[in-house]
Amino acid sequence: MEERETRFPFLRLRPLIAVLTAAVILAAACGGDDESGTDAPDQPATTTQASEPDTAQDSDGSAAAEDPDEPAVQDSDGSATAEDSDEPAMADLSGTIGFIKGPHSAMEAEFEQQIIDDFNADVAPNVEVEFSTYDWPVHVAELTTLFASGSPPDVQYLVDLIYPSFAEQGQLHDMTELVNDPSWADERAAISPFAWDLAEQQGGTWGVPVLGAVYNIFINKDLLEEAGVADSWDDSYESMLTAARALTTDDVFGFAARTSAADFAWWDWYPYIHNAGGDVLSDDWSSCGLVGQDVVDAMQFLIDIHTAGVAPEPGSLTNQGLFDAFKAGKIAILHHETPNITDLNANPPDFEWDVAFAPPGPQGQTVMGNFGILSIAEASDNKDAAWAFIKHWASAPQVGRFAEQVSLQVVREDIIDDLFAENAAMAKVQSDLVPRVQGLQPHPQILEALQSAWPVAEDAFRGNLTGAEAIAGMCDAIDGVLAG
Amino acid sequence: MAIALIPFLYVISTALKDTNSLFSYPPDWIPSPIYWGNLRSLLQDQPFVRWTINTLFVSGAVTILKIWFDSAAAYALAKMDFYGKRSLALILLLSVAIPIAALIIPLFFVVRYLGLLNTYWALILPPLANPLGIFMARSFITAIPDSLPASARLDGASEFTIYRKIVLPLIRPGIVVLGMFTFMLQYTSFIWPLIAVQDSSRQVLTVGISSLKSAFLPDWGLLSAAMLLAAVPITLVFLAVQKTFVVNDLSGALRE
Amino acid sequence: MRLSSGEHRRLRRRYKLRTALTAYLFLAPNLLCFAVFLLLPVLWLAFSTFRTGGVLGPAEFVGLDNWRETFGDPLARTSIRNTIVYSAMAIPAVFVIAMVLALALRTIPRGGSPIRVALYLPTLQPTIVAALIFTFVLHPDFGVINFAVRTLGRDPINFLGDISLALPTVAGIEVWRGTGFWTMMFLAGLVGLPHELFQAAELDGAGAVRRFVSLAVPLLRPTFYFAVIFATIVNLQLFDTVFALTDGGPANSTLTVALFVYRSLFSFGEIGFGSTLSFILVITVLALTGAQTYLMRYRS
Repeated sequence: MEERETRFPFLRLRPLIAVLTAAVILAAACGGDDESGTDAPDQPATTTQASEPDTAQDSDGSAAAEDPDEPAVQDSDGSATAEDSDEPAMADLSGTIGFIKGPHSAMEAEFEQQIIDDFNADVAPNVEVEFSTYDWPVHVAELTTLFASGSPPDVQYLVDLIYPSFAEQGQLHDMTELVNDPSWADERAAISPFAWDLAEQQGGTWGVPVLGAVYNIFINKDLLEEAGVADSWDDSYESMLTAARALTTDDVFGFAARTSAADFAWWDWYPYIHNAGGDVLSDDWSSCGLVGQDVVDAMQFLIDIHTAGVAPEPGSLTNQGLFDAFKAGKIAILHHETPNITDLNANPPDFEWDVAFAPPGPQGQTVMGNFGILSIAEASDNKDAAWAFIKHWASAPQVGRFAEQVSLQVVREDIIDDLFAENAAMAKVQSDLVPRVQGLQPHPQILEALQSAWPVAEDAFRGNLTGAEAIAGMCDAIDGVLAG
Repeated sequence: MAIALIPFLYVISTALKDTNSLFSYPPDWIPSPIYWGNLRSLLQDQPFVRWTINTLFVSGAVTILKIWFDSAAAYALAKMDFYGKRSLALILLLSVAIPIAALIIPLFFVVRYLGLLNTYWALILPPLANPLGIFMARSFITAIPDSLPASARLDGASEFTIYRKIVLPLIRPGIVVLGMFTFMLQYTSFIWPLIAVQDSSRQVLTVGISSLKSAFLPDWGLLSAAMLLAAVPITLVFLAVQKTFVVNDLSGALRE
Repeated sequence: MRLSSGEHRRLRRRYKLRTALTAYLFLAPNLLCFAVFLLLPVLWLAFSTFRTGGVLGPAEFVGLDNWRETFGDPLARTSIRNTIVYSAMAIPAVFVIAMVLALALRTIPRGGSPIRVALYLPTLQPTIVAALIFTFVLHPDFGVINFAVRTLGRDPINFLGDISLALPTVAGIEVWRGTGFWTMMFLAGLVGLPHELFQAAELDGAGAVRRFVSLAVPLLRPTFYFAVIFATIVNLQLFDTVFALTDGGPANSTLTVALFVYRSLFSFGEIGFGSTLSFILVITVLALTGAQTYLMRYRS
C-alpha cells in the first residue's frame, strides 16, 4: 500500500485535511467583507476594502451631499485636513487613489506614469496613484463590475458614450462645486464650452473634459491624383461615389468605412446623419431623431456606396484589417480614427496621404467626435486627492503632452495652437476638423440605442434594405430602447 | 491533421516577424530573418509572465481541490450507504445540466456578497461547484469490486483509510483524466475571469490576451507571440498525460 | 454473546448514523461549494426573474413583466433560434468527424501519439485564441481558405461578414476546436470494447461497416449518451467565439443566448431581463437532458 501511495504523491495528503481546508476556505469566505483583505492571497494595500457599498448607493446620484469646501467631513486621513484653510494644501494630501483609463496607445502605462511622476513631484508627493487600464471592447462590463464591487478606482476616464448611464445610476460624484471653485476658474475657462456641455447632464457635472477623439477620413493622394479626382472627390456625396468608382480597380477599393457594431461603426455613419440634420434622438431626447427625407437620402447614399462594388464587402475586413489595407495602398478613401496618424508617421507608407472629412450634406458639413472626461467615483473615500489628480491631469502641460503622444485632440483652447508643431496631419485635424465636430447626445441609454439599432444598418449595407426601410427599422429599435 | 495544424502556422509566422500589422502586403509567409523582438517585448514589457503564473496557479489549485472534493464525494456516493443518497445523487446529476453561462449574473452577486471580487478565490471556488467531476470519479470508483473496501472494513480500517489507501491508488488513471479535463476547462475559461477579476496583476492568460487585442492599435506580432507562448504550458501538460487520457472511457460518468 | 433485538436495532441505528455522518463528511466540501456557488445562484436566478435592477441601484419587484418582455422580445427569440440552429449544425458535424477519426486512429496501434497530440492541440487552445487564429485563416486576402478559393478563380468568401454564412462559420470553428476532444472520447470508448466480439464477427465475414453499425454502435451507447448530453450543455452556452469574433453580428446573425445575457447585464444593466433569459436557458437544458435520458434509457 505504501508503495502505491508514493506514485501519486499529492494525493497522500489526508482527505481530512481536504475537508478541513474546504471548511476553512468557506468559513473565511463567508466571514464577509471585513476579512476579505486577509483572504486574498496578495491583496494590495489599497484603500479600505468595499467600505459599505450601500452608502454609495443610498446617495442615489443626488448632487454632492458633502461640501467639497470642507474636506474634514471625509474621514479618510484626518491628519491631512488639520489645517484651517478652506482649500487643503496640496502637499498635505495623502493616501492612495486608483485611476483607470482605456488605452490610447500600446505605451499607455508609460505615458500615464510620466503624468503621475509629475503629480508626485510637483503637486502631491504623498499621494500614491495606482494606474490600471480597462479594455475598450469590454469596458462597459469592466466598469459596471468595478462600480458594483463597491470599491471602484477613485478616478475614471469615461467617454461620453457611457458616462451618462453611470451618472444616472448614482455611481459618479457630482463635481459641480469642484469645477466652479473660484481658484480653478482660469483653468475651467480654458476648456471649450461645448466640451463642458457634454459633461453637464441630468443637473450635474460628471467630470472634467480632457480629450477628444475625432473620426476622420484618410485619403491616398497618389491614387486620387492618378484617377483625376484629387480636387473633386469631396465636393458632394455624388462626387465621392463617382470618385470611388473611378478609383476602384482589381486591386484597390475606392472607399471603405467600418460597418460592424463590434467596431463601433456608427462613428463613420454619424457625419452623414448630422449633415442631414438628423440625430439618433430627437431634440428633447424623447424619441428617435432619424426623421426627414434628408436622413433617408443619407442612409440610401451609404447603402449605395456599400453595394456599388467600390467598397470591401461589409464584414470582410476588421477594423485593423481596413487600416492595414489602406497602408498597403489598397483603399483610397478610408473612414478611420486619428490615433492611426501616429502609426502612419512612424511607418510611412510609400504614397502621399492626408486627413480629410466627409463631403457636405444638405444641412451642413460635420465631423464626428467623441470626448472623454475624468470623473470621481461617488464611492471614493479620497475625493480630495482624486480632484487634485484630475486638475493635474487636465492641466495644459500634462494633457498637451499626452495628446501629442497618442494623437488625440485636446479640448483646451489655450494650447491648441502650440500642439502638433511636428505633426502636419494632426495640426490639420485640430484646425480643420475639430471646429466642425458635432458630438453625440449623452443620453444614459445612447449606447444601448446605438447597439440595438446598428444591426439594421448592417443588414442595409449588405443591400437587403432600402434607406427608408433601414431608417424605419433603426427608429423602431431606438424607440424600443427609450420605451423599455 | 493538416487542418488541425495549419491555422497555427499563421500564429508562428506572425509571432516571429518584425511587424505590428496583422497582414502585410505583399504577404511574406516565412519570416526571415527570424525576429525575436515580439517574444522579448511580451516577456519584458507586458505582465505576460504574471498572467501565466496566475493561470497556472488558479488552474492548478482548482484541479487539485477538485480532485480531492470530487473523489471524496464520489467515494461516498459509490461505496457507502446513507440516508438521502439517491435524492442527493439525482439533484447533483440534474445540476450537471445547468449551464454556467446562465449563472454569471447571480454568481457575480454571490461572490460580491462574500467580498471575493477581484481575488483569486473568485476564480478558484466557483468552478468547484460543478458536479460533473463527481460523476466522472464515481464511474471510476464503481469499477472497483465491492469486496475490496468490504474486506478492509472487516479488518477494521476506517473509511478514510480505505479511501486513501485503496480507492485513490486504484483510480489513479481516472484521476489523471479528471485532472486534465478540469485543468483544460480552467485554463481556457474566459468569461468568468473577465467578470470576476479586474485587477491586472491577478488576471489570467485568456483575459490578458484579449486585452492585448483590444489595445487601441493592437500589435499583432505581440499578440501572436502571446498566443504562441500561451499554448506551451497546456500542451506540455497534455503531452505528459495523453496516454492515460486515451484509454479512459468517461462515458460511465452519467450512468446511473 | 447474544444481543437482544432492541440492542441490535440500537446498534444498527448507531452504525447507520455513523456511516451517514462519515459519508456526509466525505461529501461536505463538495456540497458546500455546490450549495454556495451553484444552488444559491440558481435560486437567486429564479427569484430575480421577478425583479428589475440591482447591480448598481436598488432592486424592484415587477411580477411577471420580465417573462412577458423576454417572450415578446424579438431579439431574445433570435438569440434562442441562433443557439439552436448553431447546435444543430455543430454537434452532429463534430460527432461524425470525430467518430471517423477515432475509428481510423484505432487501427494505428503504435506511433499514434503525434497524431493524437496534433488533433488535440485545437481543443487545448482557449477559445479566444482560436477565434484570433481564425481572423488569419478566414482573411479575404491572406486566409488559407480564400487562397484556395481564389486559385480556383472564384471571388473570396466573406465568411464572417455574410449574414447567412457567419453562424455556419462559427460552427465550423467550434467543430475544429471540438474534434480533438470528441475523437479522444470516442477512441476511449472504442478501445474499451471487447476485442473478441469483433474478431468473431470478422471471422463470420461481417464487413467493417457492418461491424461498426451492429456491434460498436450498440455497445457505445453509454459513450453516445454522455457525448450527446455533454455536447448539448456545452454548445447551448456558446459565448467566447462569438464574443471574440463577431460580437453577435452581422445583423444579429450570431447573437447567442449567452452573449445576449452578458449584454443585458453588463452593457445595458437589465438584470431582470437577463436573468429571465438565463433561467429559460437553464430550464431548456434541463428539459433536453431529461428528454435525452428518457429516450436513451427507454430505447435500450
